[in-house]
Amino acid sequence: MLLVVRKVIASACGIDIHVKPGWDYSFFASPYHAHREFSAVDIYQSHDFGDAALSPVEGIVSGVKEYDSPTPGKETLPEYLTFVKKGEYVARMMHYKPSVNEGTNVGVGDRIGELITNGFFTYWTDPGIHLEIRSCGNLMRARGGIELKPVFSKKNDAPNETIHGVVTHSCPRNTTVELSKPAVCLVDGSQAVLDGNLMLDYAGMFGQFPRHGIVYFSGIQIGKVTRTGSYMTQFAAEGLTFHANGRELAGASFVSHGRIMKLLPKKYGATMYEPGEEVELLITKAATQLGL
Amino acid sequence: MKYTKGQVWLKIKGQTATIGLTSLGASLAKEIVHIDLPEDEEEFAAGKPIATYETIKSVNEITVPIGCKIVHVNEKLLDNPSTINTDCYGDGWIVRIELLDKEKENKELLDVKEAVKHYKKILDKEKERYAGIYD
Repeated sequence: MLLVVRKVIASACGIDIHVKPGWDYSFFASPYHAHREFSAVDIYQSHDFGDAALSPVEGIVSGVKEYDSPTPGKETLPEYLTFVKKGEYVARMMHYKPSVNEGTNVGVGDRIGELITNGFFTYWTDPGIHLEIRSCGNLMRARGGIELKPVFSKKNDAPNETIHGVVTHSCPRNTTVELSKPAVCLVDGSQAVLDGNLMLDYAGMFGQFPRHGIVYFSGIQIGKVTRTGSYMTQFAAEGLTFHANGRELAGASFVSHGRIMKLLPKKYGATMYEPGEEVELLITKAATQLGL
Repeated sequence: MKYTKGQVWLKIKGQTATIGLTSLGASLAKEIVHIDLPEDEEEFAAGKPIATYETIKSVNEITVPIGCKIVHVNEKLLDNPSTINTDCYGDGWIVRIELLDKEKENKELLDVKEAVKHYKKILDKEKERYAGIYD
């Protein structure tokens, strides 16, 4: 029996980005700039803030910096940037309090700090590491990430007629569902695995599809292609409503190559599902989109 | 003083104005690490981005709902953009502009009462956004 210890999910400029069993990941489930430029991935390593942050890359720590995060009306919470250098490029990571210093050698899976939350998060965001690859010159600005090359198969399952699975974890932030089949949409007759949060103004999919292509998921139009990268495509998500087992949600995210779905409650704390529960997600057009 | 829905303040004197980010705008943009400023004499149509600033996560534009020409930029921000976060109404001013349209006719420029009402809604939404983060 082959034991999978880790696998590469993306790379750029000689830096491989790994995940270990039990980690989820997404390229587009975030509203921030680097994700919209196809140059970032979020790796969710735990369900609990305060747990260990483990390195998804190998290299040498070349810097650690602390910044404020936006929390209007509340005291500021810190954010940290850690840079891990390999060759002439740097993995730029955040969302954990680093326990490593400049000069430390890190290997994949090494503990590098403690997962934190702060004002860059939304109430539904899970603990995880945000990662970009940069050249050494520009490490602070939001702009400057290098496009990531994801690892994915071009052979996809048939598109979903229904979206259903089993709850594996539930907390005030969201409910995690292991899908019975990966989330596959249709774009101009071709299949693509979904990635991203359909309650944002955009989401993405693996593969290249032309601009203005219509995106269908579970039988309804959910958006139109807006940007095509070298390996992935983004679409503008149209006004949608979400219900699972008859209960209304704020939205749903699809991560880990469409195998995992996160059900997002309308408010923090509205936990609505039990581990082991079977759920079916129903996506419909919002009344405003129907001209009502 | 006038304000925009995008958290920009305008201190208007005749046909010129100094502009900057409100305290809410500055706290939503913690912490600014880079700013791109326009050139003197550059002209902008209403609603077009005059300047762009970045935090470590986000890219944001400064726009005003009135046509303008750049008179002077605060070049000190190029080396210390986070001055906008620490002193948004003082040393963190961003540009001085000549107004090319009549500001009195512009309904998108808010007075302080209208601005407070609008900004309170934004603040309430922000508090919902980070609910649970301080638990």
